[in-house]
Amino acid sequence: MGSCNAIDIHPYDCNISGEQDINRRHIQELAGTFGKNVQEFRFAFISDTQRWYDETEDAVRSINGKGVDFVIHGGDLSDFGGTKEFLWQRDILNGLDMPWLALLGNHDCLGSGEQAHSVVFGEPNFHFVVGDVLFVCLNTNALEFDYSTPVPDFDFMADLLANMPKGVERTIFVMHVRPYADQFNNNVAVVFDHYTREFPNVQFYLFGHEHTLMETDLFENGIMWYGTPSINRRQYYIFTVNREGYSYEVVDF
Amino acid sequence: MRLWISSLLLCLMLLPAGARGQRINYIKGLPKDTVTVWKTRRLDKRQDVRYRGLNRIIPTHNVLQFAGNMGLVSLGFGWDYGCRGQWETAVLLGYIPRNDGEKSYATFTLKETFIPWSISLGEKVAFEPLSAGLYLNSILSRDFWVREPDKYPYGYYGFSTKIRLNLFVGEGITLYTPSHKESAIRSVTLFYEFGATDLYVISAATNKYLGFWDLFGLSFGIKIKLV
Repeated sequence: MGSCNAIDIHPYDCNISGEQDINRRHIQELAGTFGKNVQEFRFAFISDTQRWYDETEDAVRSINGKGVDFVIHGGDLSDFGGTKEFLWQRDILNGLDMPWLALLGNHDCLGSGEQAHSVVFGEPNFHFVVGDVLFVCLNTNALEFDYSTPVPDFDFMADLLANMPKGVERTIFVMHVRPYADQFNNNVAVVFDHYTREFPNVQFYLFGHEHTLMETDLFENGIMWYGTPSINRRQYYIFTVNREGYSYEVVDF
Repeated sequence: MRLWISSLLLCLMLLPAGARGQRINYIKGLPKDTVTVWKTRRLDKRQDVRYRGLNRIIPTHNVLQFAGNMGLVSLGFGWDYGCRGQWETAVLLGYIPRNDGEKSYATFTLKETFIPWSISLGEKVAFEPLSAGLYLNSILSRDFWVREPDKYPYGYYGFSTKIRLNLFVGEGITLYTPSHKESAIRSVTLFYEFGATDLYVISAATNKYLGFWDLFGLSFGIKIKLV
């Protein structure tokens, strides 16, 4: 049972009941959990949970048993961009025992979805730091925007490079759509690869959107790209990051 | 073109239905060719009262509705027809407030209702135990599309963000003005409806997680009949 609301104004009414600004609040929570001397942390990466509420509930149950420190959702929480869809997903994901964050997917941009997503979850581009690792979460759904909105936003990345948080030695990029996929602005795919590698010691890239499990050295430079499937495939990644580097596993549930 | 249609609808909305054309007197002194009075049936005391000839295009009622996936509030007019006025077609303009978003929206609704029975509870009151129907709602904004814009590969999303199909069932209670009085209003109906919009039906069909109130919404309205 989702959020109980007897009055339906309109599917696209942006009428947000309950918790807002999830990402900022959960990043604060994370910062409280982790000091600077983090030896090791683990996180789960899920994506594309749109209109698979039952499977998302199962995923939450599965993740809660895995002892991860936080969860990243790669976007597409909604199928139609409808306001209620975001609230249903938020309420299910709030069943997670640990902080979680959500990116913007292309489906989330439909109708008034982009507005609702930003109210419930936050800005489409954001970052956070765990230990010495910088997570850069980017909106890469270029097909949903015209040129007045830069996607991917290189200015956002430039600002971040110019104001690098203290103690950052490594970087992980997270996005909904990878370069060369249908939604990406593929005119800047190579530029994107070059520019992201300006960041300190990029470990790997995470993406969703394609609904299949993927693992590829996309630009053939030795840095891996991991694509997590849609939640109906009942699979997700868990990454363990420590001083030596990182390892990962694919969990079936 | 779109602006023209919108403004035309607004003008029509502002004209109270029944303002033009000759209003017929019902029951007493009824002109011969304007009305058919049916024998009272057990479950239906409604009488068929109509405008004459071309005046049939004049709306027979005004309606105000709250919620129902067509806006916070919607205002419109409609026509009833069928030998007992069981069928109603209405058009409404709705308003969606900004809420937590950046914009408010207007919507347009085309609504069809079937009201099979009207049970008399005395001379002035009738109870409609069932109304059922459907409506198409269109959100009037460029951010929404009927057909996917050309930038998408064919069938990329496979649905319209602009047009919603809604289904509903409801009930109503009608208060009639006394038949011997000359009145601009013939009856006032208070109604409620349980409605579901297509997106929620599709979502609920494949998920146990979604419950009754996720799928259905409650909506209220008032209908003022003029003939």
